[in-house]
Formats: sequence, C-alpha cells, structure tokens
Amino acid sequence: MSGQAVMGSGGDERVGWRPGWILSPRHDLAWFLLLPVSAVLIAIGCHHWLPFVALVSVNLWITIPHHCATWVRTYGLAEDWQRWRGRLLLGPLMIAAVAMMGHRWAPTTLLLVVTMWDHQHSIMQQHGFARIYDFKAGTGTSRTGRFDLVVNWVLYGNMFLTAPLFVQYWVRELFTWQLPVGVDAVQMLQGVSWAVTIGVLVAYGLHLVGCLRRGDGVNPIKLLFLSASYALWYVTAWHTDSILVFGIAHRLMHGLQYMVIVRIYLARKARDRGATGGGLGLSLAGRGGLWRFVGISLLYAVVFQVVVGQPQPLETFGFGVFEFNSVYEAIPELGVGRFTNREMYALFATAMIDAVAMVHYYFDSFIWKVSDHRVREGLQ
Amino acid sequence: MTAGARGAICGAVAVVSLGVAAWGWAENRPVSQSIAALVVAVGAMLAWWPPHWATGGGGYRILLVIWLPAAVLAAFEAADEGLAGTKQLYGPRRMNYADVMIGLYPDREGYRFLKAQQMGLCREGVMPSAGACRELGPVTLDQIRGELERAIRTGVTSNEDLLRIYVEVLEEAGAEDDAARAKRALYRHHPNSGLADAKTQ
Repeated sequence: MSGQAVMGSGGDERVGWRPGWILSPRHDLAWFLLLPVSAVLIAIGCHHWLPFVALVSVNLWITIPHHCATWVRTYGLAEDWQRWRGRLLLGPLMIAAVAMMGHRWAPTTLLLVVTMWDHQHSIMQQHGFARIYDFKAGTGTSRTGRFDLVVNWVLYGNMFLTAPLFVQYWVRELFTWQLPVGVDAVQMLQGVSWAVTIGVLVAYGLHLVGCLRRGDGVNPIKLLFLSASYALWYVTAWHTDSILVFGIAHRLMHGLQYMVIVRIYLARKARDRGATGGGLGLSLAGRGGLWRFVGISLLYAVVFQVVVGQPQPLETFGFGVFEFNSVYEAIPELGVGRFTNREMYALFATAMIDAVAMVHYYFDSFIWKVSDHRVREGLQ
Repeated sequence: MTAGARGAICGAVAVVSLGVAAWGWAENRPVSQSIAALVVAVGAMLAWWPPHWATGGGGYRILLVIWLPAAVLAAFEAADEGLAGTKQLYGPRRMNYADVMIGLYPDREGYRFLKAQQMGLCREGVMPSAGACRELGPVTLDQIRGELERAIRTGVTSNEDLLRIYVEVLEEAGAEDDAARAKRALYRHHPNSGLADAKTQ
C-alpha cells in the first residue's frame, strides 16, 4: 500500500474503485460536481441578460470575499499565525511595494505577473482538491500526486494555448514584447500542445489502470471533480470570446469552492481543538458561525469596494441593474467639479486590487499543502 | 567559502548596486538601469540569506520564481523602445496582430474588431508607411463601421474599446441616433469607461 493510502482513511483493504468525499456525498455533489455546471449556466445567463459590469459584480461579491476567507484562515487562526508569522507580516508588505512600483514603472509586466499567477493559482487549487480527494479515500500511489499535477498543468496549459479566448491575449502579448508570430507558427504550437495533452492523458489513464490492478485504488469522485472543472474551463473558453462568460463561471467555481474548503477546515479545527482560544477563525466555525462567516465576507467586500472603488461609479454593487452614476455628476452651477487627483487615486486603487489578489495567491502557496500533517488535521 | 566571507561579498555587491540604482535615479538615467541594479542588489541579498530560504515548503521560493523573471521583463519594459508600439502591432504586412488572429479563426467575427482598429489607424495616417496600410489602400469610414458591426453582432460585450470606437465612428459619420444608441450600450455595459466619465464633465 502506498504512503498516500496509509495517510488516508486508514482502510487497508486493497480495492479498485474507492469513492471518497471531501465533506459528504450531498455536499460534494452540490459544491464540487454540480457547481461547475450551474456556474456555466449562470454565466451564459449573465451574457444574455445582464450588462458586462455583471462580471465586476461577481468579482465583488464572490472573488473579494474569497480573499477574505484567506485572511480568516491565516490571520484569524492562532495556529497558522504562530506558524507563519514572518511570511504573513513580510509577504503583504513586499507584494504591496512591488505592486505599487509595478504600476508606476512596468504596468504591462505587472499585469502579466498577476494574470499568470492567477492562472497558476487556479490550477493549483484544483490540484489541491484532487489531492484531498485521494487523501480522504486513501487512494493512489506516491506517484499519483505528480501525475495529477502534470495532468492539471497540461490540460490547463493546452486550453491556454488553443482556446480562442486566451489565444487573442497571448498572441497580442507576443507582439507587444516584440516577438511577432505568424499563423503557421501558432498552429504548429497548438498541434504540439494537443499531441502532448493526448499523450499525457493516455499516460494518466495507464497510471490509473495500474492503481486499479495493484489495489492502490482510484477515487472516482476525484476524476468526476476534475472532469467537471475542466469541462467548465474548456466549454467557456471555446463557447464565446467573451471574458464575461469565462470569468463569471470561473470565479463562481473558484471562489465558492475555496470558501467551502475554508469553512470545512475551520469546522474540523474547531471540532478537534474547541471553538474558543483559537482565534477569530475558529469562532466562525461554531454555532451560527456560517452566518458570521458570510456576514464578515460581505462586509469585507463592501469596505473593499468603497475603499478602492471610489470615485468610480457604484454599478458594481448591483450587477449593472441599478444605476448610481448620478452620484458622481459634476454640478457646474455650484462650482462642484469632478474629483481631483483622480490619476493618483486610480494608481492606488488598481495597485491595491492587484496587491490583495497577489497576497492571496502567495498565502495559498503554503497554507494548503496536503502533505503537511497539520493541514491534514483540518481536512479529516 | 565561510558564511562571513559570503556575507561580506554579497553585502558589498548589494551596497554598490543600490548606489548605482540611486545614482541612476538621481541623474535621470533610463529607469531600466536602476531596475537592473536593484535586481542585482536583491539577488546579492538573497544569496547572503541562509540557503534554506529558497528550498522546500513554499515560503519564499514562489516569490523568487515569479519575481525574478518579472524583474527582467520589467527592465525590458522600462527600457526605451522596449515594448512594441501600435505601428509594430498593426503595421507589418500579414505578420501583424489583426491578420494573425483573423487567419487563425476566420469564422470568429469578434476579431473583425482588430481589422477595424487597423483600418482606423491607416485611415488616420498614424502609420502611413506601414505595409498593412499599403495593402488595404484607401479606407472609408463605412468600411470601418462594417467591420465593427460584424464584431458587435456576435453579442460579446466585454470589449469596451469596440463599443467606444463604434460610438466615435458613428459620431464622425453624423449618424446621431445610432451614436446615441451605441453610447447607451457603452454606458450600460461599461459604466466606468472613459466616455461614461466624459458624459459627466
């Protein structure tokens, strides 16, 4: 039996297919298997019936609160705070400073960094969930994690290289960075990408067959989860060239699943250690904790938007259905003009948005390692 | 090499590099020079740091992996003529952004917006000697409008520039009613856009 399996549920029976759930069949079905489908439908609905600002609203009400969940997990959990105090204090300062400098002197580079880090972060979240599924089911071998990682990177990378939605961005970036490419070169690259993807999927399939034959076990729920996630990404990246559809579907899936796993983590930690004395995070896990968790997340979103959204119009709050533009009309007869120092403020606001996102990416790079036994405690 | 010797060398390199960066800044030298010096300084300080900083457990490794390449890109971007301008993006014959995207996805009408942009630049004389402009020949406002409307018919509303340029083209063509409708669509989808700001001036 592999180390991975031993670390899991403890069941030593050597079986083939072995379903394992992160929370429970009902919850996993809702949050991890059907959520991607619902997210695609919602995104297509927004594309048909709502203005583009709806994407910004989803960002406000889902993505920003999911950053808040990271702060609750890191700064609000005494255990995490004690373990990673140095990084939690130094990381945001470094990243904020770099974001400000980037916006001032190298905005295109900063945009590239934030975008690519966001993609890497998305891949690693799905990979992390896949690891949790194996951990919970006690399936796979010591090599399964590597296979999962490669499959995630190759599938996502292939989408990035071949889906029209993304091709338009990276081709433009190549031209911008003085690396012009022709149609033939791009098509050749895409052909190679598809060939590599097929090869990796075949190798992954053989690995799974090996796991089944040796009795290391395969968690079918993990495969369904990965299929649902990549179905969302591939369908929305090909369906339309609108970043609205991809963005809304992706942010709904990514943000909600993240908040769910944080809630699960806090609840497990509170169950093992008690809800008191463990910091704000554990107090959000006990009785009534869900509403406090949701309340704090939404309050954070509102405060964040008020801080970085001024003096931009407030349509973001209402998916573009409600208009707030008149709030910021100039009143010439009273000598009241538009806001002054607008450019300075815009620099601050955009740097803040990028810095907060990057701090979230950074923290997630070390607080969710399933190989860490103290992290596993919160997932059991 | 002892830790002390390494510290002394790295410290000296860092101090000199910081001095070069500050001098470049004070003397209004190209920003890329100061950034390159800062990169060297940071590299020296990281090298002096105990070796485990870059290994295992996430920590600072991810910052290093992301930020060092980013620093190189930033230096390139900050250099004069580092990034391509509009002329290099849309100007060359065939090997330009618009024609590559249309060549890759001829059935995707959304990329006609790029052709419209190229035509607009040619019509305005922004890149008179460009091969793409020579190939296009004289461009009319109606042709640009036609390209923009092909892109708009896809129903994709994410491209703020598409709607903004469409408004400008309609206004220049004197189609006031159409321009007003296009403006409303722009405000509705992108309330933070530049034209939405202009409305309130």
